[in-house]
Amino acid sequence: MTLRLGEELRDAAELVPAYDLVDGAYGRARRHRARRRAAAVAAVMVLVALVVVAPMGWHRFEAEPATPSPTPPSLPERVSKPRPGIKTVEQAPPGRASVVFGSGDSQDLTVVGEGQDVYRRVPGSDSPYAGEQSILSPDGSRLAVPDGVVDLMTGVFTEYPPIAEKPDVVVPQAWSRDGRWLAAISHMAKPGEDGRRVPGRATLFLYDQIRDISRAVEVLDPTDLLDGYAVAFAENGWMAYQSGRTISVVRPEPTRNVVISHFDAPEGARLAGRGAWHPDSGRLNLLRQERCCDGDAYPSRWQLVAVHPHTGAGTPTRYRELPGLVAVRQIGWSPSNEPVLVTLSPVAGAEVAGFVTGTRTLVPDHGHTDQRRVESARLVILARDGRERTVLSAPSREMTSIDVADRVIAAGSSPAVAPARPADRGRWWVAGAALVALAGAGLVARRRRPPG
Amino acid sequence: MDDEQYPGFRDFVSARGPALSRAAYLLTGDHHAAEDLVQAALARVLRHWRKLSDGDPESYVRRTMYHLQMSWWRRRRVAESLAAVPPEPGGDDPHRTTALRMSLERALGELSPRQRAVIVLRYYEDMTEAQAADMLGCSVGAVKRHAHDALARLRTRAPHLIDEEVGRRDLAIG
Repeated sequence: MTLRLGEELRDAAELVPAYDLVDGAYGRARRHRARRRAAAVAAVMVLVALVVVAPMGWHRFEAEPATPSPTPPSLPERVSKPRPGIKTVEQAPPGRASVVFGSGDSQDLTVVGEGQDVYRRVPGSDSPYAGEQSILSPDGSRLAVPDGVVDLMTGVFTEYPPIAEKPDVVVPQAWSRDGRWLAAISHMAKPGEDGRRVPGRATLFLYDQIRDISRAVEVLDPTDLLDGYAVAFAENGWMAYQSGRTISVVRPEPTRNVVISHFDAPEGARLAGRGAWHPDSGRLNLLRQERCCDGDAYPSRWQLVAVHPHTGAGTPTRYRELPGLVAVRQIGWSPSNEPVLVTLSPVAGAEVAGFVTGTRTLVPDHGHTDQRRVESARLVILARDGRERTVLSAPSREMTSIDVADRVIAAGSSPAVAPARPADRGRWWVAGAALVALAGAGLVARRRRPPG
Repeated sequence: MDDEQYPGFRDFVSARGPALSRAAYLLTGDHHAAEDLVQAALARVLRHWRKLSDGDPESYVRRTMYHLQMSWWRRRRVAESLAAVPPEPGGDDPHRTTALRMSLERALGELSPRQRAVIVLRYYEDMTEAQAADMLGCSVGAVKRHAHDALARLRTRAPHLIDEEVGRRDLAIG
């Protein structure tokens, strides 16, 4: 034991003043009860809807029959929120993963083993959004999360090597296509005018997996960053990143970056996601939002725009608008060179949000992809004829964020993994469970009612 | 009204609050963050107070504190909501002690949350590696790795905190 360290720790601890604990704890508990009551009401309403809707026709939620695939890697066609009690990646490493996804009602992320019916929970009491603050490596063997990388082959968590300043939090953004570089942003807060701490400094850095070192790339505009839309790597090794309106393109080398270009994105446009580079590395997709149009239930339309990476000038490539979505993010390209997109559909009544929502906060769930705003996430291919082809989906609220390994995207989509908890066990089973839950909720409510 | 709803809670906090606050301060290095951390953990124990009040609520609060502190999401939230000016620390603060404490705080500030939690558990709470692993919900190997990395970093940044011979032995074992 290190006696001197222990003594110093005890000496420092002795000087700690008395904190106001009781009233603070009571206040928090009261706020928690209020939130729980609101959630219980919402849950009962959902259960009632289930009881009414399920017997009438569950076909919309049925999982496709699982078809074993002889050639991994492949993408599951459908996933479900895993049953409670599944093992963590540390307890039972799943090996290479095809998908990582988050469920809006759960704080856990789930990884799906590649080519197997294996679901594993990512350890941690509160998980980031898949594809925004947690990114699968191109081969699916590692998962970058805030503060470090989880090796899915061994279950070992490794923290990012230190950089010059100690940040409040480090958030991964994108892996290079060969898996050597991981781009991440370190955030430091500063005191704001009203005493709250606000984004103070954000530094983009590169984590070299071969030499196990980090090095800073550039200090970014901390008030205008969006996880999942900040960095994209090209097949030729180039990296594009965005700070404010400025998009920079560099070629990372072991000890320095070679600058290729800088240009301003059109007003309101962002890098389309970590898969924004075209497969030939000759064009870069941006994403813009139109808050329109008359008659749309959710008045927001997203559109990919292809630009030249040296100048930012537009190209003739045209994509159709995607209406009615909370968010769109490009994570790659299909084998036939069509954009592979994550699309987030809104819950009923959600207010329209966009890139500017929550950019001046440190908390991701104030942003436009806030999971409370998302009904479901899907992985779609935007086909050449303009139609969207869904290649991965889940029952409502069971998948609200996604990331998919590049290796799996490149292999194309073919159903391989059966849901860990198939949704097609029978409409009457669901209805019966809903009835039991409803009765249970009623009993609990009765018991909680004060006497008299 | 709250005291009636949670009988014995105020007495529990009066008795154990100072010890919990000390551990929280070592974990966070900031009085506001420490107060926030203990409050958050106590609020969670209140959810199960009827069950826990007859058992060992302190161990539940401690476990919750360590898990919350390692949570990146919470750190982001706390970073956003903390007041800018920390409260005045109480008690005597002799000049020499202050200088040493600053050095300790700076050195601990160099550690990651996981490394820091392991250092506090091992060398302040005097827990074994197995107990620390149980508290943090990770493997003994992970505790060893974090302790090894933390001691190596402390040895570089604040060598006076590490007993030379013993520190080397700890690093070798780790």
